[in-house]
Amino acid sequence: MTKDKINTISLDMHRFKALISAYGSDIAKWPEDSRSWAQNFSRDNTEAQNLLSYEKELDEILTDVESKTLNPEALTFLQYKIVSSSTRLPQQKNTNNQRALMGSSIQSLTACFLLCGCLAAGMLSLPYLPLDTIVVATESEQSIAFLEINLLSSWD
Amino acid sequence: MSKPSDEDLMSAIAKGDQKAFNLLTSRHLKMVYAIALQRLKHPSDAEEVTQDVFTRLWQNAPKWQAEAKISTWLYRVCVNRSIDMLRRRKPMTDINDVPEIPDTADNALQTLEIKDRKTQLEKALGNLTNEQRDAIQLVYFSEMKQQEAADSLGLNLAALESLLRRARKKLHTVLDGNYEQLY
Repeated sequence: MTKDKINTISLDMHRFKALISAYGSDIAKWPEDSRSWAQNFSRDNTEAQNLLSYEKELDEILTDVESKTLNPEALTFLQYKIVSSSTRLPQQKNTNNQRALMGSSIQSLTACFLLCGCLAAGMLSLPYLPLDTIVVATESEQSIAFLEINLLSSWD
Repeated sequence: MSKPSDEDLMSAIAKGDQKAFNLLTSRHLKMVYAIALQRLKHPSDAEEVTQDVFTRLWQNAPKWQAEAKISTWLYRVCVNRSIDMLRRRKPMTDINDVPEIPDTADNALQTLEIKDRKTQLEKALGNLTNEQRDAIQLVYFSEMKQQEAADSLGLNLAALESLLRRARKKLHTVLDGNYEQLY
């Protein structure tokens, strides 16, 4: 066996030990990305198989204790009790959405008022025109009128 | 048809769907009850906490924020409610309320041995920290994925593995003396 291969096996065993010592003998409960690797690795490895049976013993007792503590019938009854009593209670309304809705309607109303205000001001107020402009305009109007009279008279 | 996710069920519960609530409760009831029982050591208190946790879930469903995991939320509320109950509970003697399940094994000696190991393990479990017991419950006995369990406990994956490793080592040490030889 080459030195590289021995190193790889020892690294694999290190990884296997790290996983089995945390997650136990049921490889199906190991992190998803390690499962198929662990299955393949343990298939022909005696040390890995010994570890699996060693941890399996603990897992079986743990499962036994767990099932003894959690009686399925009692849990079914508890579930019935929870569902029947909870669903009689009213659910809380989503205040965040309500606040958001309230906020947006206030904004819309404000925008409406502003728009109406602008429109009203536009309708009621006279167009702004400085007094001197009016005078100039009057003078130019007069000169245009004067020109028009002269032109008309020349055609005659 | 694929089974609905917890998030799908929460959306339905938010609209008052009782069937969805029943399904979500059945999915997480065991985990919540086991965590409460581990901390409170008293079935009726654990039932009360479990009921309270799921009632809160029903009542708050319309306000549910989709970014939170339901299992994580349930775990945290359960732990907090259990702590509240422990605070307000009067000091009491440690009574084991769990009923014994009759053993049907033929070999009496073997039965005794198994029973003894179970008792030893129960004691050993009692010596684990709350965090270690919760990690065992979430990873081995609930449908949570490893990362989800780590998130619930507020740990990263490496810390969760380390927690589980220490817990298993303690349990092995009580049951047998071969741990050091094998690892």
